[in-house]
Amino acid sequence: MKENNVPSAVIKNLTKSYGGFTALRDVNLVLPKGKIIGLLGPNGSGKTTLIKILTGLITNYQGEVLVEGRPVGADTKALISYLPDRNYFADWMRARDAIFLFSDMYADFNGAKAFQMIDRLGLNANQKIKSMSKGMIDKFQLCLVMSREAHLYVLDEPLGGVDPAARDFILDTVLKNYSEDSSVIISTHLISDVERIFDTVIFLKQGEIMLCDEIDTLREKTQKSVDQLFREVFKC
Amino acid sequence: MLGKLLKYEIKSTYREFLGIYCALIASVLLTWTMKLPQLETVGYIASICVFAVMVAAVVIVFISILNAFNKRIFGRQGYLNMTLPASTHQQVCSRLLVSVMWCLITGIVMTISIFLLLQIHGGIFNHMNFGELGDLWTALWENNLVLTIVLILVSILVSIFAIVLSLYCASTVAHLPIFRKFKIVAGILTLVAFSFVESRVVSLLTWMGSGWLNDLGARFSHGVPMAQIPEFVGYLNLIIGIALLITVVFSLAKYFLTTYLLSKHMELE
Repeated sequence: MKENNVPSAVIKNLTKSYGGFTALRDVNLVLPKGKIIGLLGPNGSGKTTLIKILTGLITNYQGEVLVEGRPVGADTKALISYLPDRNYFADWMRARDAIFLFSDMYADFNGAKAFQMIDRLGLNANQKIKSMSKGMIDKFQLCLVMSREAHLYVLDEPLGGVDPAARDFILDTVLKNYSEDSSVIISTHLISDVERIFDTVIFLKQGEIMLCDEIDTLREKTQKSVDQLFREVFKC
Repeated sequence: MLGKLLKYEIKSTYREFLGIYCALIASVLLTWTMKLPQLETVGYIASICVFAVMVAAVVIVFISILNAFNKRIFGRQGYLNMTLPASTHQQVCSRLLVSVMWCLITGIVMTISIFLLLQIHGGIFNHMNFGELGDLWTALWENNLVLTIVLILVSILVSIFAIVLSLYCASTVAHLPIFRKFKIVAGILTLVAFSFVESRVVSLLTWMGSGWLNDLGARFSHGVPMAQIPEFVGYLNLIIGIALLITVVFSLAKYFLTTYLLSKHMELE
């Protein structure tokens, strides 16, 4: 059952260092429920590190991270639908193998929906994933992720390396398929393509939060688009 | 969840092992051609291949086990596997159980291969008197050796767990951030360190029990009288039991170290 009063995620005093390099520095965030949140920043700003901590792929950090009030672990992994920025399938897998795996492992996964989505993409369920083009793999992974009725969708650079038509497909898929009780975090540095779908944006620069606000408030305050603001904040 | 993880681990790994089993059985069956005058050379080559394949099978099994663990936890497949709604214990246990299963199956296939070879070239089953097996069983039972055999079989099983856990623990230590640039060296040194610590502990325990062991040796140095066989076997079972307990303790330590490091110090790159 989704608890509406609890934020999707609460991050307190989060610091993560890799040797002498600090990827995240005293990050404090409350990620609201039911919003599409843009996690924006240039390459190396700490977006992927933050996402990996949320999803449990990095467990060595200082601070506290809670997902719906719970520390990151097996319970929170069941709530999060994660799209990484790379292909994570074994070489032996066909599209249907991946769908059956998701069906088995996630109680909130809708296998029929996944098959319908890949059918619309023109994908053959018996095709080996490694024989698909990069663009098709990206779309296939997105179909799997969005076929879950998760509490929190975390998409890491879903638009990187795909053509403009594919980007529109990805954004439309996100909008059409996520539940309005859920939250979506999209990390990207391709602002102009995604600005239209965000409710909230977070600017991350060199591991620090520069800005976290609702997009309407931001536009009203600054009289600028998020893309223009991003270029100002992250000017080289 | 553990059952599901086991199912997918078997699905992910069976291709790697079936090939070597087929090669082993095929090379054994090919040695039959030694009996045909026109194919004698093929048979001789096949018999050499059998032993080469057996050695390769053992090496490939352990390399595959280590490779599978590394790929599925620390490689790109880790982005899928380590975000599944499973605890670290379930993740490690599923891989451990499947790895041990493949080791046992490899042992069974090799045993079948050896018996096939003996039958093809020596007709071992043609000369065997299966009635004598009953007499053998009675003798084993009367002299308390059934427990010894059970302890030896359990020790073999526990040793397989111990070897796999050593590989897993060494791999996990090697993937710690501090060893980022020296993974292979760190892994090898960790295995060496395990060996060193275990051998020191065994040496210490042997030294502590040396008085008793020397007395035992002196008592039975001229052979074991029939009447004292059960007593001797009792002492043998005690020694095997202690060795088994030591292996279990070390295996548990490696298991908990592996799961602790994965839970608290994981950094998937």
